[in-house]
Formats: sequence, C-alpha cells, structure tokens
Amino acid sequence: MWFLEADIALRLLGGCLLWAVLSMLARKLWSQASLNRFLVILDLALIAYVSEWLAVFYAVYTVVTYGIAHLAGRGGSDTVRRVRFVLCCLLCAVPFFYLRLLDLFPELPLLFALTGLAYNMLKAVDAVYYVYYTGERLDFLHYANYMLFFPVLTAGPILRYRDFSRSLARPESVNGESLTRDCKRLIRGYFKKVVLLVLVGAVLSRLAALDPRPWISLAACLVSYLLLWLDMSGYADIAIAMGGFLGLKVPENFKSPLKAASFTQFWRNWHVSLTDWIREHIFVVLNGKRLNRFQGAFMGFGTMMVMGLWHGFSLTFVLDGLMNGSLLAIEHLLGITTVKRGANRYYVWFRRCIVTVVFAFTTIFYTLDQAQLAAVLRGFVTI
Amino acid sequence: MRFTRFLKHGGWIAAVLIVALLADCGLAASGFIPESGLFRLNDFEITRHDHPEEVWDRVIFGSSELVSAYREDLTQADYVNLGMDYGTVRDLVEMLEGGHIKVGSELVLALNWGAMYDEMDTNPTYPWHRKWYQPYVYFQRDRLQAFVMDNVNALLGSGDFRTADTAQHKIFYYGNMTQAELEERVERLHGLYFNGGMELYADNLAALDEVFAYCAENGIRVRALWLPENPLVALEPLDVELREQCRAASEAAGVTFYDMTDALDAKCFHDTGHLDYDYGAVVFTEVLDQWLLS
Amino acid sequence: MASFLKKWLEEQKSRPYWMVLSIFGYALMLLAVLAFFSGHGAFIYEGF
Repeated sequence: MWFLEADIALRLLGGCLLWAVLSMLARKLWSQASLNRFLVILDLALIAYVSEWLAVFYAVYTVVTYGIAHLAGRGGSDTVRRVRFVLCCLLCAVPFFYLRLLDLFPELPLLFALTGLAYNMLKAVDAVYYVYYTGERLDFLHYANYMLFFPVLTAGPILRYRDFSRSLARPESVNGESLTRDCKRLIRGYFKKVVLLVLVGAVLSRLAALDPRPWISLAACLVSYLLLWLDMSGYADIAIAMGGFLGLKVPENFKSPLKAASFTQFWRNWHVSLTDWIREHIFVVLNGKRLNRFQGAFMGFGTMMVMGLWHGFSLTFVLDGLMNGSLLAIEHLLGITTVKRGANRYYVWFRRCIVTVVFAFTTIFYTLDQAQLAAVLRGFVTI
Repeated sequence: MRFTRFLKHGGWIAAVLIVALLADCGLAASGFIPESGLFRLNDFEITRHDHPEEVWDRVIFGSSELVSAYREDLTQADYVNLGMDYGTVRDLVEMLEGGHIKVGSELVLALNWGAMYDEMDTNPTYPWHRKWYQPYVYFQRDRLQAFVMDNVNALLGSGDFRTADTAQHKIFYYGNMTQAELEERVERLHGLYFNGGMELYADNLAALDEVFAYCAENGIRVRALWLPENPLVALEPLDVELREQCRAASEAAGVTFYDMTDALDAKCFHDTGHLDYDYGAVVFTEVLDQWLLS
Repeated sequence: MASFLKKWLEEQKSRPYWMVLSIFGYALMLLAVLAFFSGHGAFIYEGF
C-alpha cells in the first residue's frame, strides 16, 4: 500500500507538488497539455523508486498492450475482426491470468510483486475496446500516461482511456482553489485510512469479542461495512486528490451507497469504477439490445461472478460473487431493480435497510479473522 | 472579503500547515510526553527524570546490562547510571555531540557486545533519532498511538484508562536462569549478534575513538570497562576478540581499561550478562565502586 | 430533516467562523494522521 509507506507517500506527494507547480507555470508560459505528455517520466520514476522491476514490467506491458490494441483496430471481415478483438482482450489479460493461477498453484515462480496488475489489465482491455469500437488510434503518450498513472496504479479507481485521454488533452487549471479542494480531500482520505480505520477497527474487534448475540452480530456487520468503506473510499480520496494536484480527473469510486434502495442501485454507488467497467464492457458487446427479465438476471449474475473472480480465485470470492450475483438476479426476475419515483417513503427506507444490512453481512468475510467470523456468525443464532 | 480571497488562493493551505506546525512545536516544547507520566518513558527519559540537573558530573554509560548492574541507590561513587536498553557507543556519541547530555568531569563506558553491535535494534523514541524534518507527533507516533488505543479500548470496556505514572523505572532482572536456559540463550545470541566477524562492530569501535577524542577535547576523565560475563557459559570467540579490540583502542588513546569479565560468580547473573538486581547488582556495585573511586 | 440539516450546513459554511473551524479541524486531522502513521497498513484488497 504505497500511500501508507512514509518514504513512498512522501515521494508521491512530492511528485504531485512538483507537477502542480510545473502545470501552473506551463499554463501561463507554454501549454499544460503539452507538459502532460511528459508525465510518463514522473510515473516511471516513482514506480521505479518502489521497484525497478515493476517499472520495467509495466513499461513493457504498456508497449506490448499498445501494440495489441493497435491490432484490434485492423480491418477485415466482421468475423475476423470480432475474433481478433476477443483474442486481443485475452492477450492483454495473460499476465493477470498467470497471477490468478498462482492463487491455485503457489509453487509457480514469481520474481517480484505484480502490484496492481488486476486494475491495469482492465485499463488495457478498455483501450482495446476503445480502438475496436471507435476505430480511432491510441495516442502513445496518452496511453502510456493512462497505463502508468501513479495515483491509481496499485488499486484504482479504474481509469477509462477515452476520459483520461480527454483529461490529459484538456487538463484542469491548477490554482489555489483547486489545490485547497484537493488538499482537503487528501487530508480527509488519509484521516479515514490511517486514523478512523484503526479506531473503528478497535470497535469491531471489541464487538467480535463480546458474548455472541444477534444484535451484537448485527452491530458488528454494520461496523464492518463502515470499516470497508473507510478503507476503500479513503484510498480513493487520496488517489483523486493526487490526480487533482496534477490537473487530471480521476473517477469517483464511492457515491451514496446508503441511499441505494436495491442492489442494482447499490453497485452503481460502491466501487463504481469497477462495476461500471464490467457492466459497460459487457453491455457494449450487446450493442444496446434491450434485455428481458431472464437475460437481465443472467447479466447481473454474470457481472457479479466476473467481479468475484477478478478479486481472486478463492472460495471467499467465488461465494461472494455467487451471493451478490443471486441478489441481482432475483431483483431482475422480480422486477425490483429500482424503486419507482413517488414510492412510499417507508418502503424506500425499508429497501435501503435491507440492502445495507445484507451488504454489511457480506463484508464481515473480509474484515474479520477466522475466530472473529465464527463468533459473529454464531451470534446470529444465539438468543 | 479580501481574507476569503486570500484563503481561496492557497492561504487556507498555508494556514492549516502553520497551525499544524505550531501545534507540533508546542507539543514538543511543552515536554508533555516525557513529563506527564501518561506515556511509557524510554531509558534516556527515565534517567533525565531521575537526574533533572543540567550537568551530570559523573556518568557511567552502557547498554541494558548496565541498567540492571549498577545500583545508584547503593553506590558510594555517585555516578549517574546512563545504562539504556539497546544503547550503543554510537548513541553515546550522538548524545554528547548533540548536546542531549552534559558530562561534568568523569565518564565511564561499561562495554559489552550489546553496546558495540552496529546493527543493534534501538528504541526509536530516543531523541537523537529524530530527523530535523520529522514532525514531533510523527516521531512520537508509537507512543501516541499506544496511548490513544489503550484509552479507546478502555472506553470500549476492555482494559484500563491510562493513568499518570511518574515513578517509572528501567527494566531490572531478577533471579537466575537454569543451565539449559543459558545454553539456549547463548545459541540465540550467537545467531543474532555473533554471526560474522569484527565488521559487525566496526562503527561502534570508531565511535569509541570519537568518545575518547570528545572527552580529551572537553577535559573529561574517561575510562572504560568490560562488563562481567557468566562463568557458567563459554565465551564467544568473537566476544573475546571484541573485548581485546576495545582494550587496544582504549590503551591507544591512553584510556584506562578495566576488564571485569571474570569479576563475578555465577550467582550474580540472571542470564549470560544481565545481573540479578537484588544480589548480583549489589555485589557488582560494591566491586565497581572501588575502581570508580580510585 | 435531512434537507433541513443540509440547508443549515450550507448556511454555516458561508460564515467566517466556519473557515477558522475548518483550518483548525484539518490541522488536527493532519496531526492525527501523522501520529497514527505506522507505515505498515495494508489495503483490504491488497495483493491484486
């Protein structure tokens, strides 16, 4: 976790500050967009500080996937293009699949940690989609910046080529106001991730240590939800703030999950960049076809299974995918993926509570250790 | 209105940084952490607390072995026991040159392998470890976190709230290890601190010369001694070599070197080097006093 | 209730004392971050 290692964090922030100053000067004397073409140097320097091999790997991966994306845009018959497109996507994902294979066969060699590969693989595949569906070429420096962008390298939010390229070409002005806004966000993000996480963690540990009872287990689930939110949204805040220092837009990852009255809505508010990525990359293939209930259910289920497996090839993730997928499928089949406008206020609150409690329950599998998990689960069935 | 504009143009950030900096310096200057008794003090702070005078006329420095050996309450020689957990000669140099301590007329170095091992762990809260650019709260983060978490846990019903304890003392050792425990300890120490050659102690040997030079410059009478070792276990060859190097360095600088390796019998020792506080330390202090007062 | 709070908050944010409060608040958060910085934290989904 680069943001939490003092020496790395200092250098990342130092890099941001340097680029912020350069951007301000460039805007006055040259062109911020032209300056941004050189951002890749800062990206590589910072990655190399953490691990030279990782920098080499990502540099090579960037060049190779650039070539693969270029291939996806070549001409030919529809079938040839389609097959080539699928192959290109799979090729981009080869290192990712190898990493997942390691989950199942830990004896396989791995010379250095491929930090953030799961996220960067998605970025590469997005670029392939971009080339295939728009017929446009990738700008190499924009693509390199997109792949190597240091604030989001290790754990997202996941960028989209089209949006990031636009941002690079028309960066936001870095001034006192933007710096103030981003500093506030940076401090809030670090406060959530470094301070609140520990304090709330203590509360969770205490709850898990109490005599098991249903209401205590429920409280533990809700606190666990809060913990996961603090961890993930804290990280996202730091990444977005850093992007802001550089005048570049990083997508939001957490919106208003508590307001979601259905799981379908929930996944548009939680880890947004990931779920949006999966959904949109599947839907674009469907070419805007309207789906019936059964197809919608199947899509929802498929989306969640893909997401689960993307996290890892372990039982927890598979079960998580199954659970979340089933919930989405049920909503589609019953036609309750959204709540109609003007619906009864208490009904909306009731739906929100269900979503919150059920999701909170799934989070305990990530935030508690074996013993604590057993205690909390036992609590649900102990009167 | 102008103030709002100023804040918008980065003044807000400057204000936050200034407030944070002032609060940080304020906390450092107030001495709240070492003096309130709410935080676990390090051995340096305990020594300071026990000896608040600015200049310590006579000082004896060493690692944790000295802490449990020299009894300030029983000695006739009136030396300040500057024994500290993980203390090395390099630490002493930083204390002297950084002005963290002021020695009056006499300094004695109570040496052993612990005070000479270059890669020795250290207590990160010793003040000379603080870099000039490190915020005080960051430097003290271990203790601050522990303080907050203990109280948070107490609030959650597990454990007690922190109360002020102004009578903290260093760690003393009691009783005697069995032969089996001693052998186990010897093996462990061998793996950790004697796994190599004299290069493991090179920096502290250099530090030794720096201490001698400092004392010569400042008119401080400096002497060195090698702390007693438990006769029930064989001496590490590297340990012996180290002792001889220290002896040679002392003699080259014209510094008296008192070899106490075999000065005490087994009953005095808690382990291979730490003395039993109730008996061994008493004997050691009596024996050492005769030399200190000479 | 929520909208009332929102309005009240917006009103307070335009007051000068709020700016001072925010400066001290963020300074305190910054110090808290430094005091809790262990350098060993891991992201729950680390290892991807």
